[in-house]
Amino acid sequence: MKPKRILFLLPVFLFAFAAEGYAQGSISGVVTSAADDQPIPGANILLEGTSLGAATNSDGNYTIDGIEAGTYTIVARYIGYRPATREVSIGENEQVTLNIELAQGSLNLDDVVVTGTGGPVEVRKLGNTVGVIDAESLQSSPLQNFSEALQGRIPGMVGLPSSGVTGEGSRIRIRGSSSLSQSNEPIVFVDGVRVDGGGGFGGSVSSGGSGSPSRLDDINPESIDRVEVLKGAAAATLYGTEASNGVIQVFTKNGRVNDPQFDFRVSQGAISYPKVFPDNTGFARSQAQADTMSLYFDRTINPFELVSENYVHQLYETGFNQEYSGSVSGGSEGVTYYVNTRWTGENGPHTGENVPFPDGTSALADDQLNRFQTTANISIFPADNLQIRIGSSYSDTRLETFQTGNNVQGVTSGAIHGKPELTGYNNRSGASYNSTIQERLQQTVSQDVNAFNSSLGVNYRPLDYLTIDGTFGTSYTSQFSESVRPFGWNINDYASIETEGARRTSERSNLNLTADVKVTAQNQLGRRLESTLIGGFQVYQQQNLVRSGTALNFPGPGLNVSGAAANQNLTEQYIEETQAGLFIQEQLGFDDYIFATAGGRFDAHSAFGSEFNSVFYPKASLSFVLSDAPFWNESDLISSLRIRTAIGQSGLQPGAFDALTTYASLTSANGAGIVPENLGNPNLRPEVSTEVELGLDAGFFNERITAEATYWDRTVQDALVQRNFPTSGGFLQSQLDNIGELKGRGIELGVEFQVLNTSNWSAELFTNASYLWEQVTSLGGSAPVKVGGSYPRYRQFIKEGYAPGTNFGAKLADVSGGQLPLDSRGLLEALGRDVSGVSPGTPAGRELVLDYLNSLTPGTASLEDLNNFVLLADENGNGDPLDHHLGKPTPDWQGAFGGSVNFKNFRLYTLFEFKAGNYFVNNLTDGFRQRSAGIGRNTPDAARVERNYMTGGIDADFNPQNSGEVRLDAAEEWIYDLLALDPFAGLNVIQPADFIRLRDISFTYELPSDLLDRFSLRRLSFTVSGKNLALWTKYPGVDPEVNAIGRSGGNDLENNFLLGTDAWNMPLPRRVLFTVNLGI
Amino acid sequence: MKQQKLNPSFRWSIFALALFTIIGFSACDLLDVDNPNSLVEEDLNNPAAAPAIANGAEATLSNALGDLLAPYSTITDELTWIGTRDAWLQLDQGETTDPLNEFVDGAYASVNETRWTADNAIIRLEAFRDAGTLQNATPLVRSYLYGALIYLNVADAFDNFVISDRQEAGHPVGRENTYELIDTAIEYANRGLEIAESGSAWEARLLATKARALYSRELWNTLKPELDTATPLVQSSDAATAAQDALLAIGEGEDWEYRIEVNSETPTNNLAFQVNERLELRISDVYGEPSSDNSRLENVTLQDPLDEIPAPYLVREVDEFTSANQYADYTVVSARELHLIIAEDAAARDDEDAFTTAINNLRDLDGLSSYSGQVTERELLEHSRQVNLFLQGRRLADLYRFGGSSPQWRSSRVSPGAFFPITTSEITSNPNVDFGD
Repeated sequence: MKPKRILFLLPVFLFAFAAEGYAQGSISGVVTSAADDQPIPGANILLEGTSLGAATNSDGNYTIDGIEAGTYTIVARYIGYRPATREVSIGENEQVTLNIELAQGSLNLDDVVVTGTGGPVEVRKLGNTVGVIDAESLQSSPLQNFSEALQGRIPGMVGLPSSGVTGEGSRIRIRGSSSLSQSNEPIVFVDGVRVDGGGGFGGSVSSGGSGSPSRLDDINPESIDRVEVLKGAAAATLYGTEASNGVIQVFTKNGRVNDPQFDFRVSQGAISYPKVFPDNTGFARSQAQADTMSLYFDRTINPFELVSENYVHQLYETGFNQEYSGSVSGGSEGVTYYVNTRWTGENGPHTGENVPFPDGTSALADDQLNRFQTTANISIFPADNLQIRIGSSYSDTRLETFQTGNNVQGVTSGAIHGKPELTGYNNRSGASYNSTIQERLQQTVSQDVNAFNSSLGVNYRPLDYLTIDGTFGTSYTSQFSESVRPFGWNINDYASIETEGARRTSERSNLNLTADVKVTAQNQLGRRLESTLIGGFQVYQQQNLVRSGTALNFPGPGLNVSGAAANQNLTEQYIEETQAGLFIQEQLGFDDYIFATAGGRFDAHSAFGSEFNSVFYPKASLSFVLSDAPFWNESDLISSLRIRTAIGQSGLQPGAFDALTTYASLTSANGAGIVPENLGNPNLRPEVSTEVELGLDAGFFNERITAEATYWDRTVQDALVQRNFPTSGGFLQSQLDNIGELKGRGIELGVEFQVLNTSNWSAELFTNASYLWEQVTSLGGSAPVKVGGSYPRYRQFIKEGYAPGTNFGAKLADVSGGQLPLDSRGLLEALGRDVSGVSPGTPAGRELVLDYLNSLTPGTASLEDLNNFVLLADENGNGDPLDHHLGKPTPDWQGAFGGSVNFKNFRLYTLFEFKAGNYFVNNLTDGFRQRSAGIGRNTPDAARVERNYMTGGIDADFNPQNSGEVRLDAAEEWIYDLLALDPFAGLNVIQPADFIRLRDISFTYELPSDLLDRFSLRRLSFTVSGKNLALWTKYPGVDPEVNAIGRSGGNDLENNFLLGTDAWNMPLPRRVLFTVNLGI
Repeated sequence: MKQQKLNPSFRWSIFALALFTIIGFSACDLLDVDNPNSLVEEDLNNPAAAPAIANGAEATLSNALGDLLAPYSTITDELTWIGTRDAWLQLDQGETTDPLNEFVDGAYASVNETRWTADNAIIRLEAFRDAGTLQNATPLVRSYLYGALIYLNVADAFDNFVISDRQEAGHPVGRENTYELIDTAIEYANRGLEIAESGSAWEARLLATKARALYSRELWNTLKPELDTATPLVQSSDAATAAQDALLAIGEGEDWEYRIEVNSETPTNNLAFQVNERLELRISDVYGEPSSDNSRLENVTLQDPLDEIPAPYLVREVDEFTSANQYADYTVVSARELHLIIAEDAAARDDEDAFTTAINNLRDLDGLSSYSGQVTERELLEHSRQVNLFLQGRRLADLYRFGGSSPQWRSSRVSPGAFFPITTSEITSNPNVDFGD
């Protein structure tokens, strides 16, 4: 088997190092935090110029033996602290005691990170950037879940919500898209163990694509100690195949040696949706319809009088959420522990209480989330050179939600398309299609999830210079989802589908197994050169089983077991994937200010084609800390300065079975059948992402201002493209082929400014921003790939020369002054005039249009007829009117800014996020509301335009005036602002969507220490916080951040590139929380 | 520095490393994963797969019929759009030629999948037969039948078509050559009949399909390359003879239908789903009265021209179709259609007696009074086809050749004589096809 060859190399480099000698004296002591005098376990102590060193044990003690007599520089380092350097002299057989206090750092050059580096290493030694979110930075934010913890804190990393539904999770992108076909989600580890990154409901269960939960939200946010983020191939090479989208690693909290410390957190909050939906507006076409409306609106309504209601706003009130969390941590000699238990409950704003229901019925749909999470970590130090870490977490989640999104039975969409003129006895909310709002509220969607993660970590230092570290773990998710339309759900006798009941279920079990072993050998090559050699292997396996059932037509109400249904259908899918990799890396440090790293990884993967064996991903980086160089002159202006560069590769493997020609099962009335499925490609290999980073870190005015800047450039070669072969070839699925190339580059900036720091006042400002440029430089000659299949309203394409996911669609034909983009010939024919000499597609002059409009009456004027004359552009003359560039759904710039102000024990914190520059959202919701005759024309503007076009204007008593001029104004507004959808897909709906949002704001009061002492408390704080409280945007839709689908809400292509599409989503909700933190 | 000696800790580390290496090696087997979800190419080379291969052709045909008949029927006066997806509106207004229409594009994909699957089934099963490993000829007979039906449906609904094989892109056959697709259907029907068991149900189905194909072959001349409304009736002695043969096989006086059954295990009927469940489409006012909320047909009102009662067959069909939700069966060919073929041939030949006999054989099936010249032959023929071939994909050709129209048609949308084009999914993936082909 191909990987055997590379694994044979493992012992070679593991034993490639010669041993060092002994000395006689010893140094010992305790390392503590300057902030609270607490001991720091796990700190690294190194004797510079030697290979001698130690790590502190659970009570912060260390001992370095065998030191020859002499004078040494000893350096202590720990994550989040500045390194401390001490000079120490030691005689023959002398035992020196040296206690060291570490202060927290500012510029993060001396922070220690571990992700993608092979082992703990200071940031200064890395040529690539590693984003870090620490627990402290999360404290001020009103976090409900892990998705929110990632939002706005790392330049280049963005969370993509779908809508504001309770329990939904985000898609995550780091540095845009690094694949045209495979998942662009980063891989996520918790304490070194790969975890389930799935989402959605699975199988046949859906809430409409948006509102999808994320399995990453099973991670207990309260247990997070810090998060490290690798942004791309240059940093993630050691993770190999699957890592080119970046890597997110969560480290959970651990205890320290002290008495048990108890922390409690109680939070209560309110949630509401902003009232941003334009009113449902309509008018009666006849006196009979006006009379019916008068009856139900309880006032006199005239034909052609515009009437407004807001059926969406009636759906929700103020919801609330609550959180209770308690943790205990501590330890004794040899053992530390951390245990946390958290319960959070949310009853979202969605309700049907304001909707009039028939007697004996009420809303069954709800939006509730209840999540119990517990985390238990223990570290055991059986010997000075051995640490064993055992971690476990469990999450139990119950989610109830409602049908929403792009979904003909969605509650949200049903209310959005309510038309006041359709109101009737059994249709109080003016349902215009499929089912009434009351019926839609009979549908339920729920999910129960049990997720369990466990990890075993062993860190063994058999020799002073040799460390063996192994992490083994499992992540298991058991998920059951269910969507139900109960028997007789058509309570208004409107709905026609599945009126005898439907129950869809899916059971998903996901198992991730991780084994990660690495050996680190540190060696001093002379007095100025330090060597760190790291090698190891990783094995990762995922097994995913989804069993799904659909049960239709129940014999009566009350039965909710699938076996009771007349029609039952089962599907099952099992996918197993394995990745094995072997990596090696050498890092050389020169005088602790120049660091060079080179390494690589061999990878094999079960998804590689039969003609492809393994892949090697190399990496190299250089870090030059100029401010630590001997030639550097101390400067008040620039207090620290580092330049860095890195280059590396990683990859993405094809899908588990993409290499095979496969046939699926499809049953006919005569039995099980075999039908074509996947064309197959035995030459499939991973796409390879090569990324170059160039960066600068600087501190100014004695670190009062710190700045980071990174330029990156990425090329994905052999990019896997979902290539469409001719439909007539019989296989309808696209086939992966390594034919593409995708380029991306960007700039990431981060600045922190300590504005003020006095005994009573302190203030800090921060900002981060990232610029993203992406382009599909080659599709290997294949045709553009459309996102969203044959659904023509999704306009994103993968097309050469454009950013992936760029929108293409219809444009109106250019016409000269005095003309309208309407077909002269068609209008002449409609007027019964001579058309000789007038070719089709000739724009009409305003006079001709006016003649046509004057020929109409309120009984004959129809916007649908007008639409038939509209002329579309075909700028490239290829016969396709829908291939005009309409902007991309990914902004040029995005980022965050904010700050904090502290006055004595008060703290105000803000976080704003923004997206700007060539950012367009496909406002499909309003497109339908404007254009569709059957279910739309119900925004105030669309209803007015239709009314005016139909009537030619009205007088004060709503009598039609039949004015051609009024119709002309209406026609122009219709064509240039409102006309959309087929056959004008993309027209008027893809709109600029730059925005700034106040994401987080919080105000905290911490009890002063004298009061705390009086009550024997360690900490007590009160926080009022808000989320999404303000939005500034020109986007006319409900929210520029919503998306048609949420995490795993679509197929691979949609999950990647169905971005910037506003499709019947709820806006992001506003939250206000009151939180008490108590430490004992 | 001195050379370090091996100490107990180091020995332990060697042990640990060896352990880790073993674990690493064991990972190699993990790379061999199974795929229990699908079959691979070799699995289809097993003769035991013959029935399943034929079933696959039937299942794709079932799927394609629903996908094709939904847009086809919307263009005609049979259905009208009442829902949310505006591409139906284009069709409702009579637009047949837009290659970007999502529903026509969907239909194009489905019929292509069926065409390839049926052809592939015939090739594989013929290979089994040649090798003497085909245990039962019925799967091959069925494959010929499904192949004939899909070629026939394509020719009836499309103005152009491409035949490719997997990645190998074919060329458009051209509007002027689509009769070749019907010729293939006739050939498949004949080859199926050669091996079908005499007296079997499959033989009757093939005979009826052959009659339908022969009729379509002659009808093609009326519609393409140019629409001929002056002599719209199809005169085809071959078709009439084949229809008689089929009726003999079926049994005299039988109200026989060949239906492809739809149930919860098979692909659902997309036509029925759009009408009965999703409520995008409704049976149009031409055929009956809508309900007060306009969501469905309340009563059939289209009357028999002689008895002036709602057409009984239509009443039954509409009731059966609407109550089946998304599981309505497809009527592929019927004794009624065979009678119509014979009657039309007679009418075209001005053979009044033969027409009367054939049309009364049809009317007898519904207990309707006999025809004896109360209305013109053509009027009764048009009505009878409208009723007895309802939602079977024959209506657009009749509207075109008889100069009829749908109330929803807009003159700026309708291209008389035009059927569906090669659609965007083919155009953008096949270098041999352009917009406008």
